[in-house]
Amino acid sequence: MTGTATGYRVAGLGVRLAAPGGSREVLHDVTFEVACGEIVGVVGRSGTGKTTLLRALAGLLVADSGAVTLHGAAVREPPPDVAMVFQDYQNALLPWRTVARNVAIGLEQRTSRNERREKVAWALEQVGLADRGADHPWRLSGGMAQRVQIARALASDATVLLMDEPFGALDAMTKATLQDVLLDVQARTGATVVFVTHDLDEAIHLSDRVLVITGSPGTISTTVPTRLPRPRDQLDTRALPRFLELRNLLGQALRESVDG
Amino acid sequence: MADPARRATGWIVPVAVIGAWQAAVGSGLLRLESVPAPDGVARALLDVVRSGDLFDALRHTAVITVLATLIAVVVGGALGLAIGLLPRLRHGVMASVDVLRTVPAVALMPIALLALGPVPSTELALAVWAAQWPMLITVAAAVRAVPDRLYDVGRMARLSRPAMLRTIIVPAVVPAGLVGARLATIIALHVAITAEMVMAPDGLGGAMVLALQSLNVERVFAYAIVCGVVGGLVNAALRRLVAAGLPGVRATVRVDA
Repeated sequence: MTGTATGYRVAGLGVRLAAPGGSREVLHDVTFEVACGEIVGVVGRSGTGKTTLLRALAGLLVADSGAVTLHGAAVREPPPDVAMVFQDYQNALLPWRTVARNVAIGLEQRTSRNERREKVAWALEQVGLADRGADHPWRLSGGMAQRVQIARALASDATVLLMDEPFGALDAMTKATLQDVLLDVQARTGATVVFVTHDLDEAIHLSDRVLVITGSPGTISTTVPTRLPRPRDQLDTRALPRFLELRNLLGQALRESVDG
Repeated sequence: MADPARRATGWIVPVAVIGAWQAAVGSGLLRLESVPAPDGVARALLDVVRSGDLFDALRHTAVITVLATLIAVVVGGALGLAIGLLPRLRHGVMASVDVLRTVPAVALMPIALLALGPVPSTELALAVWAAQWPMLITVAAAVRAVPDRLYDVGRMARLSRPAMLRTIIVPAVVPAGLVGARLATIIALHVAITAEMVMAPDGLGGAMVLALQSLNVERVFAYAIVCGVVGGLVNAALRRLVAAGLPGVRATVRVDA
C-alpha cells in the first residue's frame, strides 16, 4: 500500500500560538515523514497540538521553527493539491450554498462550468450523495455533511487529504459507514491521508501507521506501523490478534504520556 | 404562524374596539370634539382617496422612504463591511458611531431645516441618516461573527482576497444585512413622516398636519390609520422578502429573523 515517494517531510517543527499573556509553545520538535498514498493516523490526548499539527500541514499556519515540505516544496500557504475535512461540519459548509455548490467551491476560479459540473457529480457519486446536490446543508445529517466535505476534497483533485477528527462528532454506525467510504475512496484514488483522532480503534482500523503525540508542547513519542491486511473490514479486521496487540501498544503509549 | 384560527383570534380585539367605539359615539355616550366616530373617519378616508390627496401623499412618502432605504442599505452596508473587516478603522470610529447613532434624528430636524431648507432632499437626508445606523451596526457585527472555520474553508480553496470577500464574507453577512435593511426601511418611513409633519405640505405627514391645522379631525384620523397600515404592510412584505432571500436558512429561523 505504501508508496515509495515522500509526500510530507516534517523536520523539527515547532509552533507557538498566541495565548493570554504572550504565546504558548504548542508543538515542539515534531519530525516525521508521510509517503505518497499512505494513510497516517495521529492520536493523542486533548491539548497535545493534534489540530495545530494538521493546520501546519495544511499551510493554514506558519511554523515558528523547523520545516514542513510537501513533494519537496515548502508549505507556507495551503498547497493546491491538499484538501482538508474539518470536524465541525456545521461551520465547514457554507450554509447559503447548495451541496453541489459547496463541493464546487475550490473549482470556481479554475474550471469551466461543464468541467465543474462533471467533477461535482462524480465526487458526490463517490460518497453516495448523488441525489442530494440541490439540498442546502441544514437538510443534511452530520454524517452526510461530512460526506459533502469529503466530496469537496475529491472534487478539488487533491492528492493529499487532511482530516481533523472527521468522524468524531458522529454516532458509531455513521462513523463505521464513513470509515468504509473513506477507505474505499482512498483505495481508488491513491490519495495520501493524514488524519487526527482521539479514537484508537479508528486510528488502527484506517491507518498504515499511527503516530502518538504526547506532552504539552506536543511531540511525537511513538510511531507504530499497523501491518494489518487491506482491504479492511469493520468486523474481520477488528477481530485480528494484531488489532488487539496494536490497541494495547497504543493504549500503553498514551498512558505513559499521562504518568510521565 | 400559518394557523388560521389563531390569525382570526388576532382580529377579535381590534374589531371589538372599533365596534365599541362606534356604539359609544353613536349612542351619545361619548361626546368628544377630538374623537370622531369610525364612520366619520371612513368617510374622510373615502374623500381623500377620491380627491387623489391620499395617492399624492402616499407617493411622496413612498418615494422618499424607498430612496432613503436604498441609499442607507448601500452606504450603511459598505461602512459596516469596512468597519467589520478593518480592526484599525473599527477602533478609530466605533466610539463616534455609538455617539452619533444615539442622537435622535428628530432632534436634528430643526438643524437640517435651517441648513438645507424645507425641501424633499432635506427629508431624504434625514431619513438616510437615521436609517443607515441599523444597517451599519448589524453588518459590522455580522462580519465579526463569521466563523473562523469559513475563512479556513476559503483559504483551503485558495480564494484570492476579493474572492474571499465575494464568496465567503458577503454571503455570510447577508442574513444580518437583510434584518438591518428591514429595520432601516421602517426607520426611514418613520423619519420621513415626521420630517413631513415639520415641513408640510408634502407626504402623509404633511397631509396630516394640514388636516390638523384646518381642524378636520376625521381626516387626521384617516391619515393616521393609513400610516399604520403602510407600516404594517411594509413590515410584513419585508419579512416575506427576507425569508425568500434566505433559502439556506432553516424556516423557523427566517420567520423570526
